[in-house]
This record gives sequence, C-alpha cells and structure tokens, in this order.
Amino acid sequence: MHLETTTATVLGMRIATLLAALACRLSAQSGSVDGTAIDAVTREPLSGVHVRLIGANFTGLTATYGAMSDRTGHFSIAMIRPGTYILYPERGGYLHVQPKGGSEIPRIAIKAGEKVTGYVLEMTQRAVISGRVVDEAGDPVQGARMVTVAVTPGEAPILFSPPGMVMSDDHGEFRLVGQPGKFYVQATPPSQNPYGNERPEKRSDGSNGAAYATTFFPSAVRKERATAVEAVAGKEVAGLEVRLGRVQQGVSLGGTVSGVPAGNNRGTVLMQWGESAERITSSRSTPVGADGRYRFDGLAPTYYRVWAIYNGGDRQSLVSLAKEGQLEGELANVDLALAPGLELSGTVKLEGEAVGAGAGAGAAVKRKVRVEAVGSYTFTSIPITGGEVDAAGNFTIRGIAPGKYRVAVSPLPENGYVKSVEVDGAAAVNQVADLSRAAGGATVKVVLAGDGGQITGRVVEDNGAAPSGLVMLFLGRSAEELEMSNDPGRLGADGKFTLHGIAPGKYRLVAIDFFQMGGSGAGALERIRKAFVRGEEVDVRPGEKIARDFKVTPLEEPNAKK
Amino acid sequence: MRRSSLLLLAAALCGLGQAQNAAQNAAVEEKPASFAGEVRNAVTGQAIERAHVVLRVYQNNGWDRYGALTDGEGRFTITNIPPGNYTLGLDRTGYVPPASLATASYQLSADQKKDNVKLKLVPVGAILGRVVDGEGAPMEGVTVQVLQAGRSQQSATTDDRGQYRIGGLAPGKYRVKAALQLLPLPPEIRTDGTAEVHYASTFYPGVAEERAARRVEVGPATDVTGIDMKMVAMPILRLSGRVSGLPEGAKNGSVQLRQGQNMVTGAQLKPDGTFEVWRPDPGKYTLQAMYSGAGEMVSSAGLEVEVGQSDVENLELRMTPPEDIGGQIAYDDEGARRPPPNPQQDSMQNGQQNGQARRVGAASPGQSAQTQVTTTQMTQSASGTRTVQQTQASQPARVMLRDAERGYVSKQETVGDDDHFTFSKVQPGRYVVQVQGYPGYVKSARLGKTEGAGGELDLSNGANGGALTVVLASTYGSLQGTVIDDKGPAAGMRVLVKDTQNRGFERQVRSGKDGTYKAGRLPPGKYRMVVMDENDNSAVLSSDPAMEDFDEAFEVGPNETVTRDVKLHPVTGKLE
Repeated sequence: MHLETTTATVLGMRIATLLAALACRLSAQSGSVDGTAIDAVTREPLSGVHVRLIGANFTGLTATYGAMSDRTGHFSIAMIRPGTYILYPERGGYLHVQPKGGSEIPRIAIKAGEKVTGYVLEMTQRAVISGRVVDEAGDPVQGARMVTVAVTPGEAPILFSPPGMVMSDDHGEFRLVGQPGKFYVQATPPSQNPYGNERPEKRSDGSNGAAYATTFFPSAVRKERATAVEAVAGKEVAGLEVRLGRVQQGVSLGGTVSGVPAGNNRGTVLMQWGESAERITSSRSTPVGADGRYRFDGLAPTYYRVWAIYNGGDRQSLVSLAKEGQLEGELANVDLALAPGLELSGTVKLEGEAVGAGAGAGAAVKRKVRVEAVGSYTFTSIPITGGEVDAAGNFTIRGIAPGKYRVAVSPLPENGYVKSVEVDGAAAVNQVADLSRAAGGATVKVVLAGDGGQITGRVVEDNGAAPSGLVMLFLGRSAEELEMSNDPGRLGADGKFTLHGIAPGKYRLVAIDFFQMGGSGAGALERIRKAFVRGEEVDVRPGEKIARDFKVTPLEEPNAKK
Repeated sequence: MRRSSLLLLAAALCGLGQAQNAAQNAAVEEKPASFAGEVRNAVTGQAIERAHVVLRVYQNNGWDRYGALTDGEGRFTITNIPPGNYTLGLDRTGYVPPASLATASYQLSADQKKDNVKLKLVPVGAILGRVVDGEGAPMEGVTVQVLQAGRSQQSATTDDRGQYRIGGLAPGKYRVKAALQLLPLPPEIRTDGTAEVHYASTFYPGVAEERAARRVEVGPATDVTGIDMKMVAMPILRLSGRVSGLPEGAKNGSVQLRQGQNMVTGAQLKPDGTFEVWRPDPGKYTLQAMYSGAGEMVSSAGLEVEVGQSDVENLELRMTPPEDIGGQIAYDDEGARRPPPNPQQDSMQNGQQNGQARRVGAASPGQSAQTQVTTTQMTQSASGTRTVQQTQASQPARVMLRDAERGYVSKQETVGDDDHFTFSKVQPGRYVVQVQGYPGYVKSARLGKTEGAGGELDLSNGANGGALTVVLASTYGSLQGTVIDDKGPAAGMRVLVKDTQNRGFERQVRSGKDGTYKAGRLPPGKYRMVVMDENDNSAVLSSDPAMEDFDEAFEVGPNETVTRDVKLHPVTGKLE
C-alpha cells in the first residue's frame, strides 16, 4: 500500500517534470502578438474587438487563437505556435478593411520565439447605403438583388465575410452595409423567367411587356450613365431611389437548328456571354421551337458563344459546333447544325513498345482516357461515354461538345507521365486538345513514358522552418505551363512533399502561400505565373529521384506587417 | 392537284398569308380568344391597380405568355390569345396570390370572350423584432430568416440597433431563426483572461432547438412586432470520427453535414481518415464522406446524426465504391403490367391467356388516364420541376432510384422489353425504387436476401453484386371522407396527402359540394394528410414529411379504403 503510493507519487512527479519540460520547450518556441485596435478614421482606441488568428493547412484547421481588445484597445495573445495565421477581427458595426490593393487575405506570420509588439489593428466603421427600388410607375419592387460596384475596379479590398445577398423588401426598400468608398448601386430585378424557357410576354393592352433590366442608381441601364454614391465610414447615405429601366429592345440572337430527330424533344440552345471570349460570365438556355428556330431576347450588346444540344441519352445525343462573336443588335441567322457528339479516338502507347500500352507489360492494367474541359467551356453538355483503352491500345470517347479539353490517362504506369499528345498530327500543348471547331472529332495519339522523375523534399521558409500556411506547389517548364487546374501539389503539415511522374526537363518549382495568391481566380493565376522567374530551378533527368528542399517563392513583399 | 391550287387561290384571295401553312395547320385559322376581369384586395375588397395578370401555356418546349396590367378600377383585358389550356399568374408587390391560383387553369376555345373573371390578391404581412446577445446588447449583422416547414422563405439582416424587418410574407405561421455566420473553428485558445462566447443559431422565442421554436402567426396586411430574440450561448461542440475504406491516392477527402439537400457545414479529412467538425448547431443531420477519385466524386452512405448538448464522437463512415446494379421488373398481379402498344394485336394474345388477364385487359382503357396522373405527380415532386403530362402509351417504361435522404431521383434508366435494366455506378446510400410508365406501383424491391416494402432499398453497404428485383402491383388503396368546419360539411377545401416513406408521393384533392372528398389510387403505405382552405399555403410549400403539427397520419393497405372525416384547422386571419 505504502509502496504503491510512493510509486504513484514518483510517477506523478515524472509526468509533472515532463509537462514542465514540454511547456518550456513550447514557450521557447512559441510567439506572441500584442497590439492595439483603433478606429481607422478617428485613430481612437477601440474596445470590444474580437481578434482571431486562424491557422490552417491542407489537412484542416490547425489552431485558433483569440483575444478581446480592452478599454484602451489593447489585446494580446501569447503561446502561439509559429506559423502564418489568418487575421480575422470582428466588432459589430466595424469592418477590417485591408489597405489599398489588398488582394491578399489578411494574415500575420509568427516566427519561432517571435514577439510581435505594437501591432496596430485598424478597424473601419461600416458605411450604409439605403433606399428603395421602384418600377416605371413608381411602385415598389420587391426582390431586386442589390449590390455595390466599386467605381474604380480593383480597389475594392477583400472582405473576409462579405455581406450576404441583399434584396429589396415588399416596400422596395434595401440597406447595403459595407466599406467606405465610391460605388455604383446596382439593382437586378427578380427573375422574369421563373419557370425557365419563357418567351417574351405578349401585351395586348398597350402596356410594356418588356422585362426590366439590371439598373444602376438613379435609373441607368448602362454603367456609364450611372451616378456614383460616396459611402462614408459610420454614416448612412439614405433615400436613394433606383428606378428600374427596361431592357434595351432589339438586341437578340437567333437562328435555326437543323438535324433535330423527330419527336417532342426539339433540343436546347445554350448561350454564354461576357466581355470577351476570355471573360465569359453568364449563361442561359432556350428550347428549340417546333419550327426549328431559337431566339434569345432582351440581351445587351455582348460577346456571345452559342451552341445546340440534343440529349437523347448515351446513344442518341447530338451537339452542334459552337458559334461565337460580337453581338450589337439583332442577329437572326446564327444557324446551328446538330450532329452526333464529337468523337475522340486514337491510341495510347507506352513509349518503346510496338503495340499499344494495353498490351505487353501493361496488359493487366485497364487504362482509361478522360477529357476534362478547360477554360470557360464547362457548361451543361451531353453525356460523354467511352474512353476505355482496349488490349490493342485503342480507345474512343463519344459525345464530346465542342470546346477545349485536357486529355488525361489513368492509371499511369509507376512514375509514368503523359509524354506527348498529338491531335490530328499536331502536338498539343499542355495535353490540351482544341475541339472548338473540330468537325466530327479528332484522332489522338497519346504516348506514355515510364521514366518519370521524382522530387521529394520539404518546402521551408528562409530561416529553414516549415511553413505552416497553405503552401501550394506549381511545377512547370515555362510560366504558361503553370495552371490552377493541374491540381497543384500540396504540402503536408511538416512541409514535406513528393511529386511523381515528372517528364524529364528543366523546371522551376514555385511554392506559394494560398492566401498570398489571393484565392483561386484569374488574378491568382497571373500572380503565380509572374512568380515563375523566382521559382527555384530543378533539372529532372529520366528516372531520377531527387531529394531536395525548396524555399518558399517570394511573391513580392514577404510580410504585410505594419 | 387541282384542289390544292384552288385552296391556294382561296387563301390568296382571303389574304390569309402563307397558303401552305394555312392548309397544313388548321390552328392558324382559329380566331383568338380574350380574357378579361378585375383584381381586388382579398381583405378590403378594393380594386388593385397595376396588378400584372398573365396567362401561360407550355408548348414547343417553352412558355408562351399573354399578359396585361389592371387599370385604376382593377380591370384588365387580354386579347389575341390563341385557343388553349392556360394557367394563370397574378402578381403585384405587396400581395400574394391565393394558393388556389396555383392549381387554377382556364380552357379558352376559339373566339371565346371570357370576361368578368374575378381575381383576388392577398395583402402580405411582416415580422419585426430585435436580436440581442447574452448580455442584452443589440447585435448587428445577424441574419434572421423566417422558416415555413423547415424552408427559408425570406431573410433580413439586423441593423446597428439589432432590429430587423422581414416583409412580403403570405399569411401563415412561421418560425423565426437568427444565425451568425458559421465558422467551423475549434475553440479559441485565449491567454488574455477572457472567455470565448459561442452562440448557437437561435429560434424565436430564444431557443436553440427548432422543435422548441414557437411559430409566429402572420395575418394579411399585418405587421407582427416584438419578435425579439436573445441569442443562446452554448458550449462549442465537436462531431468527430473516422472514415475507412479510402483508396490509396484519394484526393480532397471531406465530410459534409447536411440537412435535407442543404450542406450545413463540414470538414476536411486528416491524412489518417479522421475528422472533426466543430460548432454544429443542435439538430438532426446526415453525415456523409466523399473524395475525388479518377475524375469523379465518390461518396459514402449517409449516417444519421443528432447533435444535442454534448460532443458526438467515434462516428464511423465507410467508403464503398459505386457499383453497377442489374435488375428486372416482376409483377405481383397482371394489372401492374404496361398496356401493350397495339390493343388489337394484344387482345388476340390475351385470348390465349388466363381469365384474369382478360379481365384486366378490359379494365385498362378506363384506368390508363388515371394512372398517368399518378405517375406524373410522382415525377413532378421528385424532380422539383413541372412535367408536361404525356399519355401513357408514349411514356417510356422507366425505373428510378430516389435518394431517400436528399429526396431526389439520382438514377433513372429505361427498362428494356425483356423487363431488364441496369443502374450504372450507384453510390452507397438509402434509396426508394420507383417506376414510371406502368399502371402499377412498386410493392417491394428485393436485393439478394433483403426485401424492402414500398421499394425501400438500403445500399448503405453497397449491393455486393446482388441482382435487384422490383415487384409491381396494382392493388391500390384509397382515402375518403368528409371535410367539416364549424358550420358543418365544407366544400372546396383542399385535402393534401403525402407519403412518409421517402417516396415523394403527393396528391391534392378538393372536397365536393357535400364536403366529401376521395383520393384514389394510393400505393399502399404510410401517409399523412392535412386539410386547408384556399388561402393557406403552409403545407403545400412543405417538403417536410412532418408537415408541421396539424396533420394526421394514416396507413392504407392493398385494395383498402380508409375513411377519415377531417376538421378544417383554424387558419390565420379570416379573409373577406
């Protein structure tokens, strides 16, 4: 009994020592943040600000630290594990506005043992714009979707929690809450096509049956005629009246659709539009009429792309080639011809083998060729079928709508890669086959190689520490090869990574924090490609296994600390 | 030849335009109809100006619309309407059309002048209130939603005084919910001596459980004020567990916490397959794991999870790869079979078969119209879209897998002439098997040794290569009775019948002049029913099998007639 107690005490002491030792190690390594929250306009200290530091990596959230600012605006967080944290402060009536050009998500980097002091956290009182939406007769309009559009695009900073959708109520009233600045106020009327596929309404009583258009304050259908509103921190600009305008008449797109099988289903025409071929932002569809015609009404001048589909199940689906161009007025002869979906057929061959990759060494492996739409061609289509590679290495994929597709093969041989893709005899860059204007389809030759290289290592900060942010890896032989859709490599929690199946060649490895990239939009891709020149070079030889550490690629300034 | 040139001449003389069209399409010659009447406020009886009246018809894969606005006396006239069967739309900001309008249709014949149509609009109400934190301080930027039968109808955000107003509400009963942005963060580590306060989504009058919420009654043209809520502080809860069966190289593994079809929150899987979902609100959820395989998402079967006041731990989810499932249709009775495409040829065949077959064959022409309505209704609520009614002969035989948790058809296949079919790549989960284009209903679904009544099919652990047998029967049951209110039998009331076995079956019938109603051709099973007057929308909008608390459950067996006399439940705000 006595003995047992002693043992327990000793054991208890041991655990206590161990814990103490651990705590020492932690405190030696951990950092802290100490600062003051202030009102960005009055420069007065701000109490009651809930300061959050959120740590995240690709396996999830690592830790969340918090503090409340006191009466003097002071806040402090100690014992922070080194790493990069998202800074997410909150206080009712205030916003955390990033400085100009702030396309990055606000964050703080804490290095091992670092004590960040005197951090000034600026909070801006939110600005309010309120008013009502009315129709031509001055009656309130309920359900108009309200947004502010910054007068100078690109200056609008990222807000961590953008306000939810604001709609006008049954009095037509709305209240927009946001950051200060100059804005256009935009009202999008409720859908006048709630059932889908509605044709323009016919009015026989002399009233105007045209739909209301998206309108800017005070009553401008085009942004050039809109009046900007100055939103001021802590103030409410009230009493704005947005009077909805009608959609411009006479801008329409139509034509005939040929090749429709007999039956009730006449097929559908899909339309995408936007500023240019590269900036397609909207889409719409309309059924083909019994007379074989289609028509989109109530459009604004735009860049359009249009094609027809007929979905008759796996075997009977048809699709037309896409037509595109600039739409200014009435276009009535954009004719579309339905034909069986494009067919991509060809061979998959393992390099050095005379017969297809389905036979010989890889005979037991069932490979499949897939096509993945790239760019903006990701709209509704007909079912794509096939792709299985047979014993002779042949495959056929049916039912592809016109567009650009990346050709992928899975599974690849161990440490293998797609060495080349040839489309109708021409080499395809980045394995992308352009089937935008292909008639009938294309023949593809895919060559796989098994001598891919491999890179294993860690990504580290300048000081050799593991980055704890969300670092993504991009590997390419040129800036153009870096693409978001390539499913860039991700780091483990300790900064370790392995990249397999790399085609031999000279590469640069770009390792960038997801938050510095500014999300995953088009702007992010530009930033990554710009960083290519700063990426570390690596020469991969056939079959080589490289073990090497890489530094985080500097984007511009390393830390946005003030 | 001579005749057609005569026609051509006649057409040219009469100025009918395109002669060929006129000859081919008699409809062009039909004189258009007109539709006129007035629109009044259902409460005050006053005329409503600038109300929009529109007649709609679906044809050639699109909606043709003919509309007009009312004048100062509430009058409208629509002319030049091609003959046809139209549905009516009526809208004006500040009003909602009575529920009966959704089911109203108007058959307009050539040259018909339908006038004196009397239409009503119901003025809307609003809910106003204030949201405060645990200390009673107003909270700004809180999203307040009004829910009816679990669905969000409208929402608003609180201002700097914590106040909100949600307008445009049709008369009815609503639950009101205030919610902060949901950040699935682990509890904060604080070293400044303060403690983190976590608020759960809070229902009026200040409860975290939706079941404990009080419903707010909104009458026509009524502002209901004082719907104030104090946010409910509660401990930060964690839902955790492990996903097994993840293949090597599975990417982007995650778990999702869903309510119906809505994803509420979720988390990424850790490399060892474990997960932690932080800060779920109390309530019932379905938890599901998924990852992206070779170009497609693969998901696990859903797991029912209930969050109360404490952590939920050790949840186990298993990934099972999608499977192809082959099967066939079997018939419990001959009446469940599809009528043959050619009746004459068929009667010869039937003559050589047994007596029962002949009896059914004789009965089928009269039944087919009704059957078609049943199947159409089932599809309609299944897909959530309007289905244009087709005759049964032209409707292909289809078999469908309806996701029992999310309530939509996830697989649909054509059944071959040999009664066989194959579903490809079925994800694990709980399903209900349904058919379309058959006079019968699904009596049971058999897979291996398991048999699910009413078509229930549990594939939570996959099909394991088993073949599916779908047994159809035609021994429908029915429901009948009398609707009564305070004064006795009530005519023109709507009786809504919904199944409670995830089949998405919904039927609405009206009581006749003597207050009696009948809902025939009900597949045997469990149902709920509710009776409503024309201005009550609450149950119609519902996708919730619980249908609030004014409903009644019943079960109907094969060939059984259930009789229920029902009392009209009191509705909000008496109209006119």
